[in-house]
Amino acid sequence: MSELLSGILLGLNKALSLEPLFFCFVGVTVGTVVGVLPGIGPLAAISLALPLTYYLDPTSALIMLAGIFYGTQYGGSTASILLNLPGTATSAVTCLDGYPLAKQGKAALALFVTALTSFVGSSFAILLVMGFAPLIAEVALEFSAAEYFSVMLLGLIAASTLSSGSPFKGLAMVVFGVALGLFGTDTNTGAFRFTFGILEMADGFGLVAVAMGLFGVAEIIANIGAPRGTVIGAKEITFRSMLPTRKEWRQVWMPTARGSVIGSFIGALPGAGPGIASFMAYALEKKVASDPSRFGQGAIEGISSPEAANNAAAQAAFIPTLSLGIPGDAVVAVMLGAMILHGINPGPNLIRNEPELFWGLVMSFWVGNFLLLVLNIPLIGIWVRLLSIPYHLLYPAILVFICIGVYAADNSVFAIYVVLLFGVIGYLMRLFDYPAAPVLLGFILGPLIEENFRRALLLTQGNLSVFLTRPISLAFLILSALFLVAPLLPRLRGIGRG
Amino acid sequence: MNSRNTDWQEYAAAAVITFFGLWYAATATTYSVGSLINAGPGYFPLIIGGLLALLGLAVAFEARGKPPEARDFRLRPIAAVASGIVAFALLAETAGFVPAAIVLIVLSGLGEPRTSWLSLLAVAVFIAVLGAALFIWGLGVPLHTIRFPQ
Repeated sequence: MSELLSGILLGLNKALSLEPLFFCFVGVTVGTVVGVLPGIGPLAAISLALPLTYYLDPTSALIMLAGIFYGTQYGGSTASILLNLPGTATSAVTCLDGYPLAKQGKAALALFVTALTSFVGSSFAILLVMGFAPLIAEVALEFSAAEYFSVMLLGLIAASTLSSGSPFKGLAMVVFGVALGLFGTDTNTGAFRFTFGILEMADGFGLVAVAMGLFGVAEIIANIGAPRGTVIGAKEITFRSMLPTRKEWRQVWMPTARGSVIGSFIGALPGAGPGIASFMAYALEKKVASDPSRFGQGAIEGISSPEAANNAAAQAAFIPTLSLGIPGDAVVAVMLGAMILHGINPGPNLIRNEPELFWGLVMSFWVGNFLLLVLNIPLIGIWVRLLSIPYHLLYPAILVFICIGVYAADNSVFAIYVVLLFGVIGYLMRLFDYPAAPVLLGFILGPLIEENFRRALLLTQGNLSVFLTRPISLAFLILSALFLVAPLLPRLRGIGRG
Repeated sequence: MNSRNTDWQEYAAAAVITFFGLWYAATATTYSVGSLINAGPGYFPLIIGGLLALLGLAVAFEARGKPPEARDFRLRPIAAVASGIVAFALLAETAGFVPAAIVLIVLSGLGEPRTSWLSLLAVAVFIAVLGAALFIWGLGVPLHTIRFPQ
């Protein structure tokens, strides 16, 4: 207990000092803007900001990048409600009931409720991060290569089969990501793999270039020329019209609690993040509702639960990231890449070796969420105006920042061609419903999973049973098998019948 | 099998995955594969390539009997974005950041049919100056703002 208290004090001391506080503010503000604007998501924004953080102290850098991530979860619902177009993919379900509410003249109420439930979901999950991350890290200190291999496998499988759509496509994309991650120099032997004699390929594809291609450029190509809705209800947003009635308060509170719990659980799973959490939370609300037909017509439960869930998941994603070094989500995976670039070794030793970084980051979540509450309730009018920027002027500007951003990551023109390649691949993947987030997760975990696979076998003279005889490793493998089989079952039954 | 009720595009996508997996596995065998005790640089990629090829088949298997899906494939956005990015890559180090950014914005802006030239040019100049201030003067990215041919 006293350890927790001293951690909190250490963290507050860091998070409230001038530089981290400033970058927390920058992060959540950028996050809100990016979240509000459809067509640019947290992944592109974080990859874009990544080269800028090379010059910062690592704690401030991570505080800012994290702020962008959870800040987008707040902003994302604004466009869903006013434009019927999700500002970020994780707010897609909020359209279903948010837009009907706006049409009924309740836009202000919907914006208020989503900001508030977002805050509740985040707070719940931050408490879990504070309580559980140090405990899990303690257990994970005993991990050997076999456990690492198994937990990463769990992350990869969860990321691919839990997402909506075909589990085979998800799995294919995660394996494709692993394959891409192995391009470049083999860390064990120094051998060049898949470099084709290109000098720049010796280090493999750059993380920033792959992420910005798959998420930034692909998103832009897909959005060009797409029909846009018109913003409704933006003029009638006053503080008075925001406040829910007593009946509405009663409708909000239980769904928010349920959403927070689901979101935290999904977010804490390695590989599964806010997008999946919000879909699951919505599905559950529809199931427990006494009158499910209200959903899709402007049910306030239909916005409170998913918004609590996606924020809770965004914060809870830091549990596996900070305690095991296994990213809880593709966006957090990029943050993990940022840590490595800053010379910080993610893993169970992180909290012990860098207590100031861990507690500073976690306490900055509180600071950031309070700032977001201010940004998203009294100041909402500013962000709503952003929605009137025409997209045909916005996307060429974003492309310039993407190009100079990847160039700055390693001062090479080659990276610009890589970003284009993955932009086109990402666009085609969208067209055919192949999810992009698993590719990125596989790309980042690929080299790590290979290394631990080889190390585990080297230590046991090639005995594959090491993965099954160590109990924690076995537990992860059983969980992986469950995640693998569960979504396939209904399909297999269909095959048996047909 | 009725060709009108078959999603050939879906099969083609699955085939691309399978062929990529096979190519990847084949390339992996040109590196030292080793054994379980001492896995070489080709060992893990060989497994991954094989797995990818199988998953391509699984996707194809899943697509059987499904009616074709309408896919909104548009060449214009791809062509505009691609030509803009290639132009930026060619110009950034030779002509400098400012001309590269302006060309990128104008070319990629053509992806949207109803764009206005004047506002696009205004955005181009604004972003070129802002980007130069932020990245070149602010962060020291080693690019010239404008470089005249010698």
